[in-house]
Amino acid sequence: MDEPAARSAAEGAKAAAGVPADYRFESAQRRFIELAEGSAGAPSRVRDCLAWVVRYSGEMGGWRDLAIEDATGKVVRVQRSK
Amino acid sequence: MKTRLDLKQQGVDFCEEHAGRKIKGDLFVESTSERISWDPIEFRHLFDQSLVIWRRIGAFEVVLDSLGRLAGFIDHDKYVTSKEGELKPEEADALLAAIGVVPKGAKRTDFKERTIAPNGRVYRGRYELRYPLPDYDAVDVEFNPTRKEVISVRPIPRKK
Repeated sequence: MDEPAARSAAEGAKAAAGVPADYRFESAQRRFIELAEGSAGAPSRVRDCLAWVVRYSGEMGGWRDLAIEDATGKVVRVQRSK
Repeated sequence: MKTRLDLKQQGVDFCEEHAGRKIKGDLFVESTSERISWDPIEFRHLFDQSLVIWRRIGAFEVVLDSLGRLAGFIDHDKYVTSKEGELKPEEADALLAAIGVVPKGAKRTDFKERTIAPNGRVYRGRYELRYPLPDYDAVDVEFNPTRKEVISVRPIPRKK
């Protein structure tokens, strides 16, 4: 998957991922991230995943990061500014 | 003879108990493979299994450039301990040079203290590379002043 494909996948998934409509694309970075398979807060099996982390940001400084798995094109993680 | 399932569970239980005495924190024991074989010397069956002990720690991310090379990292665990202490810009430069992720000769153009939730504090520096790379020519670096270590190196993608 290249950057345009990752951006396209993120665009298609951003509404379902809760990205506010006024947020704009900021950047896309390819990263190895860790994904826990169990419930949050508890120890569980973890796998490494090559993903494109696509950031959308708003005018007030907030942001959402959508991690798109390189192999499948699916959203595997959503992070937001605190 | 005990069933394979019983033997497997017995091994996992023993491992959990043993590991719980040696390692702090919540643990999860996973059985990854198992094998029963006949020992011709001891005249008995032997049950072997491999176990992996998982403990929850902070996430670690590796940032790649467009050629798949290491461009930075984010060690989320280091935010947790980042609270007190001072860090001089020269100390930050030395810490960054020691990890070897940023090419030599990078010049610090900004250095500020920032608060992070909850009740944390980091130092953030911006470094411009001496020789621009294909995707970026500067990085943002976060430092933990309490333990004097680099938390993250984030390349700043060049505007296209």
